[in-house]
Amino acid sequence: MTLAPSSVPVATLRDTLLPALNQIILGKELTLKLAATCLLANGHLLLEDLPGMGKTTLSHALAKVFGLSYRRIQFTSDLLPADILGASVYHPEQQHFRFHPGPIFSQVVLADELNRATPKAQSALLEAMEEYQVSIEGESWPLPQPFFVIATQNPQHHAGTYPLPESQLDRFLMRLSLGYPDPAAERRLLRGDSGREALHSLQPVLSAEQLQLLQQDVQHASVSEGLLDYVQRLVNYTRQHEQIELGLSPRAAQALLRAARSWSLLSGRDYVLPDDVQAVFVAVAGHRLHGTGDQPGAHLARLCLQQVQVVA
Amino acid sequence: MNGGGLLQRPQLYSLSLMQLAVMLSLAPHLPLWLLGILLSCAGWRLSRPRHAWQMPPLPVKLLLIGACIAVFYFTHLSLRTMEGVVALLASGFALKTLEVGSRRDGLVVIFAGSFVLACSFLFDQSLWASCYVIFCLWILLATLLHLHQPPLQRRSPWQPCFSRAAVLMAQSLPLMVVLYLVFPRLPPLWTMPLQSGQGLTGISDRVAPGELASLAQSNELAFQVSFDGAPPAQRQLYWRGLVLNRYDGSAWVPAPFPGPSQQQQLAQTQLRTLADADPGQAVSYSLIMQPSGQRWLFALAPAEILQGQATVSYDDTLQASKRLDDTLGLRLRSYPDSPRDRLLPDWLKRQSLQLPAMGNPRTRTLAEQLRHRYNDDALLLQAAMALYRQQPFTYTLTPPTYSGLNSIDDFMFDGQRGFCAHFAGSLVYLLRAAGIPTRLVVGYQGGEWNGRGNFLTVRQAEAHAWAEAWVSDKGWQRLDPTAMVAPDRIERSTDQLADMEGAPLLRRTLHALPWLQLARQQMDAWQYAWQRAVVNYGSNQQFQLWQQLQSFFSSDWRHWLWPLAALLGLFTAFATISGVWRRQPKALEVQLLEQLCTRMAQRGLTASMSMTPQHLAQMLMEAYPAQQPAIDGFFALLQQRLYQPGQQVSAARLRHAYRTLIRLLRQRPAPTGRS
Repeated sequence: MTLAPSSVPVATLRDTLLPALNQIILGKELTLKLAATCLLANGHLLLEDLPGMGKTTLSHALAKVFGLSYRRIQFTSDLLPADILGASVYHPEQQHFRFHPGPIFSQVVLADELNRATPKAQSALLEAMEEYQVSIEGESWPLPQPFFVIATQNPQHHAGTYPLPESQLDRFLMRLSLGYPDPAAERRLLRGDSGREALHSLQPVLSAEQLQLLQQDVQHASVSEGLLDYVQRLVNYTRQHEQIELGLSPRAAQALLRAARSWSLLSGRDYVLPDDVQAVFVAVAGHRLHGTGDQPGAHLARLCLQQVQVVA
Repeated sequence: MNGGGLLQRPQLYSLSLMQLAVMLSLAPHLPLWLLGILLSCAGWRLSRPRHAWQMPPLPVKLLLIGACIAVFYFTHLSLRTMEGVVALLASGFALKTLEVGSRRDGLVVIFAGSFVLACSFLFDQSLWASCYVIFCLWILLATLLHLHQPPLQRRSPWQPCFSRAAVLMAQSLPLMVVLYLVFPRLPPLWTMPLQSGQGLTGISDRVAPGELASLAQSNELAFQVSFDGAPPAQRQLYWRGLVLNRYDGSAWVPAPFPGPSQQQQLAQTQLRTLADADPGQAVSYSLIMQPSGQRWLFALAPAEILQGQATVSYDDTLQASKRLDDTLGLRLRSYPDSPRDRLLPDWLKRQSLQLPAMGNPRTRTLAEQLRHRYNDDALLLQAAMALYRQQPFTYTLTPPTYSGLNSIDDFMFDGQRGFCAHFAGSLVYLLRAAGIPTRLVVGYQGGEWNGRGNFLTVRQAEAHAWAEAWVSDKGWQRLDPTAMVAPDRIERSTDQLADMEGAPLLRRTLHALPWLQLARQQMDAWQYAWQRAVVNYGSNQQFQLWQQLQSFFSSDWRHWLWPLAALLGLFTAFATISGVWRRQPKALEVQLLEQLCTRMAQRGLTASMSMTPQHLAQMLMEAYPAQQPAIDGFFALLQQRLYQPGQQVSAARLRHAYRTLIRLLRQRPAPTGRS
């Protein structure tokens, strides 16, 4: 195995990063690995869950483990773009305007309850996510690198929410939901084996520079013709399936492959297997698929996995 | 089996729709309240989940069944008729909707539905009915598929099942044709009478003046004829059905059937009748009778039967060997206008002179005057016919009613408005009073020639009555007084008499719109072809087909070599075009994995091609822990070949690893504890 430039062996990732996360959030190994995959693939993450499932804890833990600076923005219906991006404020003693950067100038930004804000405020954040810079009054302010947004949203049917349009959902590489813990994990949680206290004692496993190197490695994981065939079959199937109104776009296909590469790296390989594609498919495709009926996208994604031949 | 799980809402909807379609196939033949039962049951069942209603308990169900039977009783639906039995079946089919819950219940409804659907053929076997049944069958199959969708797709729509069902039906079509052609036609083990007199129209064996008028309004089919050669002229087409030899003072009825000695006498004259026939005049034709619920048949007289279960009676009418509850095909040869019964036995002569002792004095006086003036019978007949031309008679389908003891007098001298039954009846009365043996004949006159299908359609509207008088040495002569009064009625078919007084609106509309008439003719032609080729295909035709096939194959082998070669060539061309042999060979990995999946499935492991190789390997290892090295060996090679660029794995190595794996798996017994 030749992992060229990174100074961090992949084994470190597997053996220290994931166990560290698992100590904070109990019994959610797969979801945590997917969240780490998303970060490694340089993609933003959307968490959809009920309140109290550990969304904030997860994002905080991710920032800490990767050694990144962390800010949280609580989205409310009266939030203005300036509250996110920052604003130029007049300083009478110096007689000029000075830019005060908003909370978005951070490496990990938790956008809590994104869908409670008005579309105007939402799009301020989403534009920054795409451009990696903030433009105010004709001046551009680059965002720190790496830049990673974790947005959480309440399930759509809750009152007082503004659902994100498809084009903005597409900016998130993955959508995950933690869900209720299993009984054993919940028992440990009640005993107090983990939680916010453990967060404070959490030590970074990587530095920001190492993370950036790893993100470059992801691009180098090798992909065979047979695997590309499988990815194309999957994507085509979503476009032809009669129950799916909107299939996966080419950008979504790229995102799928990027996520699969990242997952293979976290699994300690430098080549991608169909298993990697299957592991990330529901998270990557779930929020991008729209059924003709009221089936949830994740259900449709699972249906596609069951129908498409891996080798053909 | 625990019922296969509960049915989802869309499946309940598709079931109800299927039931409605099936019930509609019976709707024209059964009381409409059955549809009401189905609709209310289905409505209740579909809104049950919303209102959280309970399943009906046993007493309620029994009560509903009791109510149904009570309705049967009050609507006089007898369970001894076919209609009653089918209605009972249909009501059960409708009530079953109430307790549908699991998939097993759904299957019961579907199977019952196919039986109910088949029952609709008891009432109607026409092309259109058959098309509808096939349509219903399609819905039925689609519903069956819908019910069997795997749980994951439960919520998926019903529509995709339709295309699948259509493909299945198309695939089974060749088998259906073969079975239809070769499956033995067994006679029914038992028969059920149809509800008597209902749904059947046609001529009855009692003609009171004014009775055929209701038939003239009916567009219902009576029978269809195709001639071997050119059809005879319209005015020669007198389809004799019944001879009514007795006047009871108000209506014409058949005479009692002759006794044995009389029949013997008849047998001799009968032979002579056909001996007199001129072979040059012979007309051969095939006839398909629609069900009439009666035994009498219609033919041009005198006729001999070439094929079909019927006999010729003493008065040259044809009788079927059983009641016509179904369509009947016949082949006949007739000799129109050849003399019949040159000699008439005395008893028959007496019978043909019968009149009531009283009544109609004016007609009797007229007859006496005629007799007095003309000594010769033939002259008297001419004079009597001339009466109808000279007197101001009017042909109308809406005449006044003539009743009472002197009804014929009233018609002849006062009313003088009527149609065929009046004219013919009065003529028979007049001639009998004048001492000439005469009888009333009822049947059909003319018919509508369908140029598209080259056949003649005779409808109930063509019903007609005329007279036959016996003249010594010439036999029975046909006399049609209607032709004297309204020659148009005979020269053209009733269909063309659109402007006639009292003609039904439908026919007038048809006349006004030529394209509509054309469309109807085309539909009739299709329906007739269907009737001849499919419905009428019985054991006789089957036997003929076998004989033809036998003679074909027992003849010179060169005769069938060419068709066979042509067939093979066609198939090859088709296969080449459709790409049967153009399919690219599958990659080696695909072949091996497919074989492996099949083998795993045989051993009870649920493997499919949508699983990744690693997943398959894991399953195998759980089932055969001892074979881990071989499993690892094969799958590692497969993975390298497929997904690790730069790794060269030869096909031979992969195949070798596969054979090793299979050999080892075969040695071990099938895994236990996993399914």
